[in-house]
Amino acid sequence: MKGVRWLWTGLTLAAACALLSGCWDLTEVNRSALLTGVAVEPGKNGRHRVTFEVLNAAGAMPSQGQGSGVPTVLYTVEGNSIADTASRLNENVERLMMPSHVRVIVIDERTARKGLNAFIDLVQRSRYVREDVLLLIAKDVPASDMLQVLSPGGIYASWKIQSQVENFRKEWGGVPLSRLFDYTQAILVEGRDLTLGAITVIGNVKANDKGRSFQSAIPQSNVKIAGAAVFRDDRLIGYLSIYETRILNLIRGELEQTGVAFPLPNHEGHASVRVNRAHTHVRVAMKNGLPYIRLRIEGEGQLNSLDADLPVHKVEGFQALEQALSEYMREQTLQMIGRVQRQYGVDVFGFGEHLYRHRYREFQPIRKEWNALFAKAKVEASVKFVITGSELKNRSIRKQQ
Amino acid sequence: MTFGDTDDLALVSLRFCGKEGLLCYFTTLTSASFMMNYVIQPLAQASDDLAGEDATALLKEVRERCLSGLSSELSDQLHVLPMKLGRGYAALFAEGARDCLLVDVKELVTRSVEEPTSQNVIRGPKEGFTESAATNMSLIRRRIVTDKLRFERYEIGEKTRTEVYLAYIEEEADEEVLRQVREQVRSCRMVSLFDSGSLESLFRPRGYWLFPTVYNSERPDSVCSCLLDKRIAVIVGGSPFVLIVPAIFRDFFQSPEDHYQWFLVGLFARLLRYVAFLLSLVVPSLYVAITSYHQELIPTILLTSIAAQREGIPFPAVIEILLMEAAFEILREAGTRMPRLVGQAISIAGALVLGEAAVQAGIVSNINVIVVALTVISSYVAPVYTFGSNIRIFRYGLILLASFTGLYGVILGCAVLMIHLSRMETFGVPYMSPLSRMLGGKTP
Amino acid sequence: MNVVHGYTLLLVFLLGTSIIFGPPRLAPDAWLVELIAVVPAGALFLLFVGLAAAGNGGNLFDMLDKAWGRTIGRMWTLCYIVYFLYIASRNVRDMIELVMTSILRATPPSVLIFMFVLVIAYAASGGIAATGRLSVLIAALVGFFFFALALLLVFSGSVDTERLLPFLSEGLAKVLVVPLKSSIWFPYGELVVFLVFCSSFGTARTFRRTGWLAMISACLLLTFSDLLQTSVLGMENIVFSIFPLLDAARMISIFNFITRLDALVALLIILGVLVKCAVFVHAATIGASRTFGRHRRFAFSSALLVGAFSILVTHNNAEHFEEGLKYVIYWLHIPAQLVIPAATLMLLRIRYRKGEREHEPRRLHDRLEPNRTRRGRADA
Repeated sequence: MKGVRWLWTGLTLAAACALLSGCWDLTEVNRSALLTGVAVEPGKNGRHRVTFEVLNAAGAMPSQGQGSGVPTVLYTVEGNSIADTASRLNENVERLMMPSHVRVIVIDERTARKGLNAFIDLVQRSRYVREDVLLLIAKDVPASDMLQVLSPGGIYASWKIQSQVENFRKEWGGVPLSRLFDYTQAILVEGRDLTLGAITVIGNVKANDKGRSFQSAIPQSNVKIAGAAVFRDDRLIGYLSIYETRILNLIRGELEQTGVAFPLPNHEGHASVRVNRAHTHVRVAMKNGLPYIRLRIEGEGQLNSLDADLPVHKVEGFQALEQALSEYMREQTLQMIGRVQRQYGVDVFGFGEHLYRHRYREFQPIRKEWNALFAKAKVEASVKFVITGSELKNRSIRKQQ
Repeated sequence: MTFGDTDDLALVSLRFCGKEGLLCYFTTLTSASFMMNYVIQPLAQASDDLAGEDATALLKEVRERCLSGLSSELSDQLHVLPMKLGRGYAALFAEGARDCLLVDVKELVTRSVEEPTSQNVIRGPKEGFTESAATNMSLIRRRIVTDKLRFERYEIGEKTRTEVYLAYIEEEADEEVLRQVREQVRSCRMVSLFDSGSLESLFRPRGYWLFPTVYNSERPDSVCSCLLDKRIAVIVGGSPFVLIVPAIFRDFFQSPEDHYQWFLVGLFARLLRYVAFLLSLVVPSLYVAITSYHQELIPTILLTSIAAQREGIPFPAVIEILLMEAAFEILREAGTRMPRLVGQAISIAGALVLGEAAVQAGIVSNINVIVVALTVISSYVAPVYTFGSNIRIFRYGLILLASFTGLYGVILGCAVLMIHLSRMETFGVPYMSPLSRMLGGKTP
Repeated sequence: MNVVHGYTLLLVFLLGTSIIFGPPRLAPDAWLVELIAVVPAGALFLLFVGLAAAGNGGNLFDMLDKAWGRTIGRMWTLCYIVYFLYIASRNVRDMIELVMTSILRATPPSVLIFMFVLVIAYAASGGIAATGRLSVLIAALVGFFFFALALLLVFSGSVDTERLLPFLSEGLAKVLVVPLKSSIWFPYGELVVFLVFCSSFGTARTFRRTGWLAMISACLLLTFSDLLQTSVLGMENIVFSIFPLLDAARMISIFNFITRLDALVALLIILGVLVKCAVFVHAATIGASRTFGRHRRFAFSSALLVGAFSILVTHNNAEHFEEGLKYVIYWLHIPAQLVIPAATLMLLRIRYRKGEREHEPRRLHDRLEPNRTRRGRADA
């Protein structure tokens, strides 16, 4: 019977497969552990000191695992390169490492000042590391401290940091896009320098030691976003505050929404506007050998608080507010660009990139000295914000005189 | 006589028209009242004036006058006698006659037309075929009132002499296919044939056993629509399942009910069946491949959850899946063979013991139970039960492939399946022609 | 094989590997290169169609015999067999490289290749009609997954058309030259293998029409794919990618849940290479059973050869791609796709124009210009 012969052939092949296979690439989930965060610091003798955050799945999913305990465990290894430390990880850890789920790579500012390229190559090359892994700079504190901050409910540090950074960027725009992919783009593209997100820790990290952080409603220590880290090539040269970073995002067109509190005219207090949409048109041209940058910023938002009793049920009330807001944003923008020009002298905004993409022939000869030219560039900005509504009430609720 | 001393052979000597006669029949193939009312009584009452000289002429007379309502024949061929008796004829011998009169007295207890059990519909005719070929043919003839409907009779089985009818609509059915089917049926050598299922292998192309190429149905409406769709039905006496050839991939995903509803509902149902078929094929192997080879493809939180569930499970994912699959296979087998009441007990035991307790005991993980359950449920979606049963074997092959080369193996396995499907031809019709019907492919 | 099967077969064949690799990054604006390449490639295809017409329903090997005589014809046949098998083995190597970088790591490639080769042999031994039907299934899958990738990339906000600029930064001349250097030979020139099956496509006219249609659709799809890749990765970044589509697919991230669809890319290339190899191996087996005169099936042995060669062919990625871009084009593609077919066509024209006008011309005429006869009839 043909069918029977086929069956036997199939069974034999299956048996051969099962018996001969080395299952070379097999990694059982219950015999391995996820690597979720990495922190890089300078170690002794010019070596790297790398801290790995390893997930304890049962701890991170308290509702499902039999056991619980801490969600993550930190291991610190010193080595000549990150690849070296990563491959030796089992020196300390009992499980196989799955590096594919790294969410956050925190880099110490001391390391960042020496340059990132040398070890980012490993990350870029590896197929395991996602393109959207966050690269962050630890400001003022050692990078490994970042990973020591725990939160209740099985939320481990790298998860917390990732979602905190993402949410802050989306809701307020106080941190730049800081994925591995953005790093690659910034390094490769002409006429734009790198910025990465910067974070810091407030409070006392060591207080976490006895898990006290879980017992108290007031966190003993917490990760706080510090704005953006500015690079020249791949070396850290300084920071921007979260307010400055917001302007940076606005100019780059990466600001999704934000809330602006601006002073009212005649010192009547502040008003705040929830900006839902903002867009910047950039025009860069070369005039007399110097770049001439014109920005046209447009935005749209809703009024959400008002200190003074302005007549926002009338057109002129809105107009006054819009004008105050636009003027405030214009000042902030010019101030911020001026500071970057003077203090850092690197084009983090991508004005050069704009020139490169749209006026290739003009950009080509000045490619090398772009940053120097940028520092001397003349910047103009016209800002026009539109306030589309005042939410539920037409004016502040108070007794009318 | 070749029958020996079997107990149900009745040899009744009687006297009619003034002659001695012998009536010979099987009591098991007729009923006493039928014999009494329609054969013996008329014979006994036949007036003596029929009595002539020639006994053969007398038999002829008797046949025309007394037994004219029954189909009968005169025969002098003794060797057909055993077969005729076996088919429910009674033989009447008269003294002095060379011939004997064979009268069809078959009166069998048959099942009446009932609702089909294996292919249920909610909306649509509730009649199902029965074991009687005559009833089945009548069910078809009732629905297709055309002078082109043909039934061709064949006999298969050296011992059983089972009647087999080819039904088709002349000028509609493809001549070439018809010729091949006839040839297959004629040249068929079998000792016995009890169900149309044994006939299926006749129509199967060589080397392609993974997918059925013969559609079977219990439902007259679906058979009739196939006949009108230029196909050929094979009715086997004693089997309520009518075969339809040639059948292609698409047919196994169609339920007659699809046409009785708004077309979009039918279309959706059909799409769902294709998806379910795919799911039942690849879900367990994808689970094995992804969780044990390509963890990077799983979102972090989901992976964390899977990892937490699998914490402390002693088996690798493959073994876990195979264990559960095997358990479900056994359950399925037990469930279908058992009487309905016991079957329920089995399903409770299966659901509780295997599903709940195994997870509680930490032998298998929750997600594994979900995967296996999804697979099993999906595999039942195909309207024709036999379609899923062969492909099951392939599923285990895929799981094994997944267990040692991960997704690569799964993709290759699926590629093999696709090649297999596209190479298949049944009676010269490509098996995958459904997908390109409107594109001018040859369709049945 | 009906027209649709033929069309999808050609389409899948053309997309096979090039949808993953894209055109070689010899010039910026690779997508323009891709778009332009179809023009000279279409002209090259006319040569094949001419051969198919002159071959009068015979396959490539018949034509070679007819044009060059038995001995030399047989030699060319052998050369073509080797060429087909070599190209197939390069394709297998491409696929294995991608699989080894994207979904597996430690499994010995020889095992993977052996498994793959078995599948190729199974596909190739089914005949061209079965491969045509297979290609419909695969085209549906490849199309579905490719557009799914594109859609997901758009939804995850990774597409930024600014990245396509600056346009024509190095001038038009460079962009115009590149197709002649490489893109015309690969993938379009590889259609030469279909000369072996040209009779399955019907007349020379349907062959031409199907071919052109497939080439144009492939060109549009490849251009789209290239635009997509460039607008996701950026022109500066894509130069560093070995598998641009893979790198682009890695950018997909929707709600942090649908991420890392590397496996889809692997699926695309495995299925594409499967069809390509099945066609090449099938062509080679036809040639082999012709040359060696035995009615044996060579599918399995040819497929094993392909597998073995794919391991032996190079040591590493760099060697593999450099060979592909430099030596293979000059030493294999140009002779096999242009020189020999052109010479054969010329010989066929010369030898059979005068000498055998009595027997050949009517059929030849019908095949060559059914267009004119039909129009003539309509005029009358």
